[in-house]
Amino acid sequence: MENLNLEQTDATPKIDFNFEEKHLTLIGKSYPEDSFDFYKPILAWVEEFLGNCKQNDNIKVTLDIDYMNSSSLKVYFEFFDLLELAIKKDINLDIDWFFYEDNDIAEETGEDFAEDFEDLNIKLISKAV
Amino acid sequence: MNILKIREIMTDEGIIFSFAGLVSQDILIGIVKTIKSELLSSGAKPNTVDAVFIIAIEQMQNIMSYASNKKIMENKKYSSSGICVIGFDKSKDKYFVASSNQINEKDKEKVLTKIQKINRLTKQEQRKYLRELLRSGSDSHERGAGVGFIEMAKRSTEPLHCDFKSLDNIEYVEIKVYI
Repeated sequence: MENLNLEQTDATPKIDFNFEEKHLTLIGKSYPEDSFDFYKPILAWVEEFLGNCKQNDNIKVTLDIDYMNSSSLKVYFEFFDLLELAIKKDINLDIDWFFYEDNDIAEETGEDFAEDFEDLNIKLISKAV
Repeated sequence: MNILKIREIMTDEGIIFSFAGLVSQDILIGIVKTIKSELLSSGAKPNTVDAVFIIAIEQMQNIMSYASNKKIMENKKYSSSGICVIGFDKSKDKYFVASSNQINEKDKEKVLTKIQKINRLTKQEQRKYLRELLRSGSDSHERGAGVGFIEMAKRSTEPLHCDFKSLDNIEYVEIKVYI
């Protein structure tokens, strides 16, 4: 598999998926014109990557999305759905959700995802401004 | 051309920023950046500014995706004619984001029903409804409406306002959200 790297743009996040280090990073804002089109190859990569992972593999996921529009919410829901399936294969996930301490929106979004996906044990980490 | 008339309306309605024309992603990005710095420098609280730009994005992307869905535009790009207005209502001491776009007669009922439903729910029930929508149909390319309206309601300090108007036999929907 190849790494997936996408530059950050005004309305889409930086995507840094490293398959060898098993580290997935998403940083920035998410409000593309068409979230499904933008994230389709990204979700496909994640699905393939998780399919290749084995029992007891350790995967790190770093999220630092300070805003996502409503259609992105649906996509990230699917993303976490995929990660939840991986847990069932006994793959170890270490998921961090970062947010600036004064960004209530990002904090709330992280809390909602953590609550909706309890099994993922998403850690909420605030950053100093 | 009576630009003074436009200025009068803007002053009367408390409009800080308005856009009328083809709404596209590029324009949306430009507007969002402008609103943020403009509102922050005029002393609005960061949380309020965030709510304003979030709602502006949802409304403008609703205009774009509705048009694309109903093939109101010819080409493949999501861009649609609409009006988006951001302002401050002195009488309510609240910011507002409002938009207007063309709507097909048969869609009016759908939109009104969705908004009325969301308006009737408590914040907690809205959260639950949002979760249901997010969980449903993983392959649904349903854009706009649904989740978008809930996101707007989340940041709003009153029920969402929805109105239908007719002009020259064309139907328009107007949405107004107070923050």
